[in-house]
Amino acid sequence: MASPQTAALPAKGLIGGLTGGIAWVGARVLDAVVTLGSMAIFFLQTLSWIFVRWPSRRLLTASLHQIGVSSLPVICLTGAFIGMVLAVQTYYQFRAFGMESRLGVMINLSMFRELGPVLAATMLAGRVGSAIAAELGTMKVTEQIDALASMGASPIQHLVAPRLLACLAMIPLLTIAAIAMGVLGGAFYCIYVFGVDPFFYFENAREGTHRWDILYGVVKSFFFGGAIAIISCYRGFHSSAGAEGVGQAATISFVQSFVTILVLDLFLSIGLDRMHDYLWPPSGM
Amino acid sequence: MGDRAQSTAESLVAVERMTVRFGTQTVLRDLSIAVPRGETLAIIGESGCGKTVLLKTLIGLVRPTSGRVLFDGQTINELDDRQLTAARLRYGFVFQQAALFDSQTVAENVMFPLLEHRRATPQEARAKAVEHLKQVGLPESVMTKKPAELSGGMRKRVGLARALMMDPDVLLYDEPTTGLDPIMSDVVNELILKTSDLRRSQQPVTSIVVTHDMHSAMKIADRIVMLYPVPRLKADESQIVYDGSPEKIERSSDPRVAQFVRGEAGDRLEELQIA
Repeated sequence: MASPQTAALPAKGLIGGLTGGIAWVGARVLDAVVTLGSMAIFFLQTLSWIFVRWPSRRLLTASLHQIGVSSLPVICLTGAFIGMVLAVQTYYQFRAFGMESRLGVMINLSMFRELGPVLAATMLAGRVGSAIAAELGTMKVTEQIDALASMGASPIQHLVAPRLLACLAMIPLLTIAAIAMGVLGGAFYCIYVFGVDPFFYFENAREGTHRWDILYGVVKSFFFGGAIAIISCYRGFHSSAGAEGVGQAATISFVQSFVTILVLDLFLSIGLDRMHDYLWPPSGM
Repeated sequence: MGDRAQSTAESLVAVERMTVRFGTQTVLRDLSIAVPRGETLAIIGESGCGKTVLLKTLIGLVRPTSGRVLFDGQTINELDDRQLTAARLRYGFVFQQAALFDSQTVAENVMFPLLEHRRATPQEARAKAVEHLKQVGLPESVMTKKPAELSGGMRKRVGLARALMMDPDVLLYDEPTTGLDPIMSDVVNELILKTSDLRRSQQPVTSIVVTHDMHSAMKIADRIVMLYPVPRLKADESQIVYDGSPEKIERSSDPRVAQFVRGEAGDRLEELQIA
């Protein structure tokens, strides 16, 4: 029978490598589950604080300005260029079938349903999410979060609740702005550069898109906004010490927000399509 | 043991057989300290011995792995959020780097605790902030400045003014003189003494000062406790290597205390190089 010391030693060779690998994967999975659970609790605490004590007007206004107003120029620019790039990438394929006048439908639907919300959210995860993680991370390492708690104030109520509310309110609005600029950018390029007839372009675009398509992207952006706020604040609150720790918090915040946006996008697309089919069953069924 | 139980019962702040671990690292081990009402206690020890962690456990910012943290008869580590908030309002905490809120002005920082707990109108809070800033030697003109515009000494004094705003029963100071020039260090020492004396005339104030500045500890403390890092202790040794008056610490026969008081490296450099 092996002594406890011998049993604790890692096995060597192929078996050792395999067990070590399995242990490594297991540890990562456990870490991920713990982090997910911890984030869920963090989210619930934030929600409960919103209902217990609404953030002060000053904090909320500052967050709305930082997240919304300051992001507007870059979001509009991004949206406009996405619309124009879509036009450039698809014009020649559509022209081959003589369907240039239907470019508007394709550009608008892409912007409304996918590219508008996803790319706006990605841009905001980089611009807003990383800034939130870095700001809160700095507050943590300089003990400002401890200072709040030591004075009997809730750091979640003061720092997370206003940012979550601001993201939930502003990210859908910014997404609408990105979509509008994408639609205009695509239309501008198709009409003024490729010479597509504006009447048929807009008429086809109007006929091919519905209110549901607009709602589709806005609903998605609401969830993306919540995810960006919670992940960024959580990463800031759990930043490790020093400049490197704060930098890592900002980076991890962006990476996790981006992955979450893509995962949410898939499930929301499936869910919203099913909801559409339930509310307006496809003809012929 | 009986003496310890009695002193714990009479004390305002105490820790009983408290251990704090972070992962596999034990920072505080089986620690028991009782601080009577009105006493100024200096906790000294080399960097990494757990002084700041001890201070944070007293106010519930760090939860002990085992043992109890007591404040005025309540067990801090067993309180719910509402009770903990009420207990924290009786503390004032002066952080090492002041921990002022970057995004707020000095006025907003100092008025924060009063306004947060709706203990005063903005006008009353402002008047009290001016009074406390004057008490720590800062003019009213600093009220509109942001923390980044202040020197280290000014930030510490603003931190002290903020800590005083709720008229606390206990003041916790984390390295109040670290990073300051000798003159400003002594100004801060004088302020700690002045604050204790001023408050004593109104109600007993208990101060716990974490420091590795021996000059500061000797000047302000009624009692000094020296902690030793757990990794350097034997299994059965207490983490408290000195507990007594400032006058007697210089005559301590414990070589670890004598080395710290005299500020001598001894064989530490060789040990560090081996490690």
